[in-house]
Amino acid sequence: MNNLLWLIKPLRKLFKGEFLIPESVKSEIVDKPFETKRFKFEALQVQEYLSDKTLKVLPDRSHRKEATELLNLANSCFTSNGKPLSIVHYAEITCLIAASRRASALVMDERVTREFVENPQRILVLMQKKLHATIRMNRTAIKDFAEKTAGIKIIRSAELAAVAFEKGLLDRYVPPPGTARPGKKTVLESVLWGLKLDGCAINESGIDAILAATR
Amino acid sequence: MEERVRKGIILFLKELIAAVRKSDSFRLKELSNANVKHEIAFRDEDSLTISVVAYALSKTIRSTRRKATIALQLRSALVALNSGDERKYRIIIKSLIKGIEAEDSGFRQFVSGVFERAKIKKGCSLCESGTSMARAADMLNVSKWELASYLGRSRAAGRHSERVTAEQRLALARRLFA
Repeated sequence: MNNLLWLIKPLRKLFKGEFLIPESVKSEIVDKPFETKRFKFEALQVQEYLSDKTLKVLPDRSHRKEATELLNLANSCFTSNGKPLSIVHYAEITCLIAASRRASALVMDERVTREFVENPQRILVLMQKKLHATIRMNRTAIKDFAEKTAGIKIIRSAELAAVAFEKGLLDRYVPPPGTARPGKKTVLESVLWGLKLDGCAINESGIDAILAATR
Repeated sequence: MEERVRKGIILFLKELIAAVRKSDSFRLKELSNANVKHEIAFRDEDSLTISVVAYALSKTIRSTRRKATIALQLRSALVALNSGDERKYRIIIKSLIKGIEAEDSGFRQFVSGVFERAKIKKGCSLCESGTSMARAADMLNVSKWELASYLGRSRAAGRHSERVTAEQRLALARRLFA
């Protein structure tokens, strides 16, 4: 992690709403890592924000059936040699379900699920290019999936960081005048690259666009 | 296990055994990489596992003292798969992995690191070819944080469509936090 998790709290105050995570996501980022040595501390850091209710957990029982149906639908959208390709995970689907229930937006850094919602054709191109195999797209399933996920708006941690920057939440990192790389935008640039290198699906032109657009 | 996958692994094992006997780490790595396409196409965990084993062996074969045992275990796995005994095949492969990891205390940490890296690399290949991160992490039993970090550093990280531009997402984020 980039040590930016603390931003959740001030952003939550600015948002004036709730930050929800599905129970299955909580299980992936807290419960499972807590059983390992490598990511136990990361799990504890997230747990702190669950304990103080900055992040709230959306119980699985509220959407299990719907999520399972959407997962099955998603994983039947592409086939190879007649076999459906299972490409998304239950936890990711529960995020889409949660977001489809009148959420203002879904914050998701993961690329494939995002493209599934915004541009499923791109996944087909990607798979065909990479696998050199005949991949078929089930157009009916894709249409159903698109209908069920219509209206979901996705942003990434990169955009959250940009907003945090504009609101002055990252000012503590601004290098003082006279240092090697002075200037406010150095902070945003370094944060965006840090996020990208830690897995936020944003490309270089996306970073440049955010840098150019931020005030 | 699908018949096509079983046949693929049998061929793979034959080449693997030959490379292990020659301590040919370069060939082992080649084999591990070549198998990627196959395992991705079928999303098959057995293909993934044997590929991870090949990668780990490419890193350890020159320093292990258990080369003969490893070759023997791979041979037994081949026999099991040839006779259609998938359960036995999986038990042998599991025991092979444990054996490599438990060789000696100093080596163990290195080998388990190698296995971890191999899994992450395979997970990254899966993601690059259209599998979501959580699904890939789940298939390989690796941490999403580690996978995300590796993926973020890969060339594929920059290759995605911008149906919704960064500016549009930023505009939405601004409205949310106005």
